[in-house]
Amino acid sequence: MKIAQKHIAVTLSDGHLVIVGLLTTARGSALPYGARWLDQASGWWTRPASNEVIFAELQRTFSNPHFTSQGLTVLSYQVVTEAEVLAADRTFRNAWKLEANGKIGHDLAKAKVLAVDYLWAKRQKLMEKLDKELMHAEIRGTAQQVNALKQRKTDLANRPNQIKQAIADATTITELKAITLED
Amino acid sequence: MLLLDGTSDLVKVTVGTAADIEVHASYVENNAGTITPISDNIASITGTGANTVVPSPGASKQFNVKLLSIYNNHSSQATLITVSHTDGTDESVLWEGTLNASESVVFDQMGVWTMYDSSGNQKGTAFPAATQAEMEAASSTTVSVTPGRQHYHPGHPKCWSKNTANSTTILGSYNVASVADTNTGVVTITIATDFADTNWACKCSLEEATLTTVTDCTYSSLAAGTVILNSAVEAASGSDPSTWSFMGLGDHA
Repeated sequence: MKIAQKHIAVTLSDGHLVIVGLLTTARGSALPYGARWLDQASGWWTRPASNEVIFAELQRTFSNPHFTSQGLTVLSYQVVTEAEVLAADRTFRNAWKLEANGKIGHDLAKAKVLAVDYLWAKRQKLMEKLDKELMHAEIRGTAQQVNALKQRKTDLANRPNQIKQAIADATTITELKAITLED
Repeated sequence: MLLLDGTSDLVKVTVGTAADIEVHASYVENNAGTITPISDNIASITGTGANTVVPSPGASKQFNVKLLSIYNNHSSQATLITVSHTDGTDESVLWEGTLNASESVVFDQMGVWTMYDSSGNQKGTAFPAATQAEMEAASSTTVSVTPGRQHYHPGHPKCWSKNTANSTTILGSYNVASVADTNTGVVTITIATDFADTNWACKCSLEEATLTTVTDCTYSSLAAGTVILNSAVEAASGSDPSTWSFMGLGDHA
């Protein structure tokens, strides 16, 4: 016997999209909600991906304190295919939303916030790296090397204003992904 | 050894259900120092009731039974066998048990009884299977662990799963009902059977070949039936591992 599952796209009350892999055939020592034994001796069970089963499973999953402490509840859910989940671009996964056509898409405004966070974190790391290189160059390097590193730091420091504008102007996820720290 | 030293002493085999019992006895007679070996193949016992398999020694003689073999030659009938020693007044049961078809029991000169199965292999001394309660108590040394109840032992993992990060595809699992991709680098596991409380141990790990951003796996918001796994990251996003693995140890509700 083999594991079987359904993918459920769940929209939470804050608009966040969660993908739940609901097991419909699996193994264990006890039956989960809505399941019956296929072979009790070996522990294989099965259950339908009915609304009743999905609802019960989502109730259990989202009763976790992580969700209840934020007041998050299930707004809606829809069965999607694994191919649809695999096809979804995970670059800005936390900005996912379910489109009207049932496909996984992006909330562009949320994606822009994520893009800023990501680029700023990356810029911070790059700045730290340049600081180290500059320190070494000032001790052992040439004046030319020092000046080049200083210029790179200046460029990087000035880059946020350009990036902010590019992010604000982006109209698609593809445009957003194309924005980098480099010119 | 098994001694017969009185004129009323004898060894009997009592058959419970009619089958086809073949008995062989090897013993020595001691007649004032003169030792005479005797081997005796008893005629097949096809009825029920008591049958003398080692007779009484004569006056001033002793028998020392070296070997007694009892074989159920029936093709299908199992039967209860009772081997006893009597001195004419009191009778003692030496061995009693069921012989299935083609099984045998042998008494050797060391005084040891050994059973053999229909393939001629020695039958082990089997402990009875432990119940769920006995497995959970984990204290008995007189019952045995069986595959169907092994998972009830407190030291045995109660649930586990391995799943991909990019599609929530569950690759393998035990006692898991669902896995939810809730954020980049975050999954929520829902267990099929809740633990008794939140004092269960969660162990998680990540599969990540490149090791560029993902550095470790932690868990949080552990509840009786759910737990959240997190990949500890260096960057703000892009921290999904190739696969997640987790297991839980504790007491089921």
